[in-house]
Parts: sequence; C-alpha cells; structure tokens
Amino acid sequence: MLLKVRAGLSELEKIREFVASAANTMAVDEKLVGDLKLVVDEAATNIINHGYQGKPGDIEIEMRASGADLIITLRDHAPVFDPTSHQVPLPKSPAEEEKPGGFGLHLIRNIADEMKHRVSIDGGNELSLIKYNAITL
Amino acid sequence: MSDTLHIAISNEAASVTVLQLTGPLDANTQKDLEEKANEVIDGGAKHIVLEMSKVSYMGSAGLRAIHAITKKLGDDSDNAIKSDDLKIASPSDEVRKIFKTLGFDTYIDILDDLDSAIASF
Repeated sequence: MLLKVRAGLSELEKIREFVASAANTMAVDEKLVGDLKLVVDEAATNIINHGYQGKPGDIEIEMRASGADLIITLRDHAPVFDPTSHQVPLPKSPAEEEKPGGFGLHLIRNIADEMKHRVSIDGGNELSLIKYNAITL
Repeated sequence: MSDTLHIAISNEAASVTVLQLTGPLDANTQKDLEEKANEVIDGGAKHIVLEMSKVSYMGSAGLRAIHAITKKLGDDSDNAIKSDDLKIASPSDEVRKIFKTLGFDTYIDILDDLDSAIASF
C-alpha cells in the first residue's frame, strides 16, 4: 500500500488515515493501529519540519508485510539524515527537547521494534520502521 | 475526520479557564492551541485546564504546545519540577500514554474528569 503526499503539516491527517486504512486492509492487529499512526506521524513531522525545513518536497509512505512483520517505509528527498545514528536520551526535564525532533524520535524508538535508514539510489532518505508480529494471520 | 482543532473556552470557576479541545492535536494544529492559550493568558487567565476527552489524536507536538503554555503561564519549566497552573482533564488512554512515555505525567497533573481538574488548583 502506497501513499504519496506533498511535504506539508496539513497532510498529517491524511497520512494517519492512510496508516489506519492500510493497517485494516492488511489485517494488522487493531490494538497496534494507534501506535502505528503515531510513529508515522512523528517520522513525517520530522521530515517536514527538520528535513525539508518548510521548503516544498514530497513524502512517500509504503506499508508492506514481511511474513507476520509490518514494514513501514518513508521516502523523501530532503538532505540526508540518519535518525538511527543519533542518540536521543529522554531529557532530564520533560520540558525541553535537547535536539529538535527528539521527542518524536523517542516515541518512534519506543514503539518500533527496528528502525533502518539508507540513502536511496536517487540520493533521498529511506527510513524503514519495523513492527514484529503485527499481522494477525 | 476533520483536520482542524476546535477550541471552546469557558470560565468554570472564578480563576479557572477551561479550553475544551476537539480534534487532532498534531504539528499542524499545535500553533492553534498555543495562540488560543496566549489569548486567554493575555486576557488575564492564571489557571488553565485542557479538557482532552475529544482529542482524536495527540503526538509530541501536543506536548510541545503544552510546554509552551506552561512557560507562558509563568511556570518556567526549564527548571521547574512541576507545573501548577495548567492541568489536563480526561484524556483518552492513548493520549495519556503519550504523556507517560515522554515523562510529562510527572510534570503535569492529569485528572480523570473536568470537575477534579478544576478543583485541583
């Protein structure tokens, strides 16, 4: 299942609806749908705010099954950024993010079982979030 | 589903302003909440309750907005252990989980219903 949107915050609702709808079609455990909407929203928000930094761009979101595992891949053409290489400890005070987007990354790491980043052939970012045993068979 | 956040304002007690939120609280609507809260604080509000039972979605942007409001209220949260001027009422389980995961549940009181939140100041 694939969704292509322009990189704008006003697309976030559409992105979350796509995740819920694709999850339903793919027989993803319904208890996970809220968490999956959250991780994709946070990843897309970071791409829009910190990747493209308000400049025009595109985001592609793909959801596919690998056995019982769910793989969600976000592709963009913002400057290369590998979130998997960044340590984001939860701030001592909940009040301040030590790095922009840190709260979002913390949520993503809390929920996804695996997170992988690679630079695509055309020089963009490809971030894959994997949730084990998400598909009810 | 609507992608806008509706914010209803009411003064439930002499010194408590309630903002009832309906819709998603995400990076797109974060500024709407911050702007509305700024208006009521500039208008003299000292204590604010965010009634969140109708928040359909909240991500980390919601917590950024909440932190901005506590700062505006004068709880300078950079060092504060707890915010005393802002309370959260009746969030869904999913929203409550976000507060907890990011450690905000120790920083802000989260009450099960609006009356308790109003009475908690």
